[in-house]
Amino acid sequence: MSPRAAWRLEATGFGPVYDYVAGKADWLAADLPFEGTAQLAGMFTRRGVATTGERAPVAEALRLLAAQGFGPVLVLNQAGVVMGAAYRDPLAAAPGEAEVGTVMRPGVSTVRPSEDAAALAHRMGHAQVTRVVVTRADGTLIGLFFAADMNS
Amino acid sequence: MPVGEPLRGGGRAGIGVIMPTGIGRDELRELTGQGAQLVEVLPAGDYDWAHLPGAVNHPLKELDARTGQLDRSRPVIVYCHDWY
Repeated sequence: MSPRAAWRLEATGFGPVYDYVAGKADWLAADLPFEGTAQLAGMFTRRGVATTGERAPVAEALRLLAAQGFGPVLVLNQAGVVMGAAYRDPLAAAPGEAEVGTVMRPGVSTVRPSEDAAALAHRMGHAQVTRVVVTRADGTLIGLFFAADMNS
Repeated sequence: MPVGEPLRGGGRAGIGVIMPTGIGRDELRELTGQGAQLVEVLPAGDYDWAHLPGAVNHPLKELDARTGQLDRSRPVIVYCHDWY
């Protein structure tokens, strides 16, 4: 639709005319500010959640988990991309000096912040999932979405 | 394709036609910072649901009738929902 609009404006003498081709979907998925009535997952996402690296010792991840009060601890690479998630039981069962990467769950499911929050919470309820990792399209972490936060 | 890389050629097409230029997020922010007008061309309901900060709504079907509301001296950026 926007290419047609751009061409029409060019044809009527406007210039220069630019087309943001990836559009609103790209903008919202990047967790950028918007105006409007939408209730998106990003608005309810817990930010600043506990993170660590794959080479970090398990004992450190357990300390982070205890301080945060909820899990998991998200495992990021140097670019901030989510590589996995470390959960309490596997961490507690591993030696404290073991690397988090050896016990993390790789390939966790993620959603974009542009998802409709109520629809996402509904889907999570059906799947009996209480929280989900929210990332940008490039895989970088935004935070954790808890379905229960929709009601609080 | 990296974000911000022009998605198709812009400028003069060789037959006296000026082509619109595809841009990404980074160029959009740079251009709006320089005074470009941001226009969402989706229907009003989509605009009300969510739009980029500072964007005005001129749905494609009404665009011809509304061009008088745009400043011809400033660049224009149009967008819709996604690629299509």
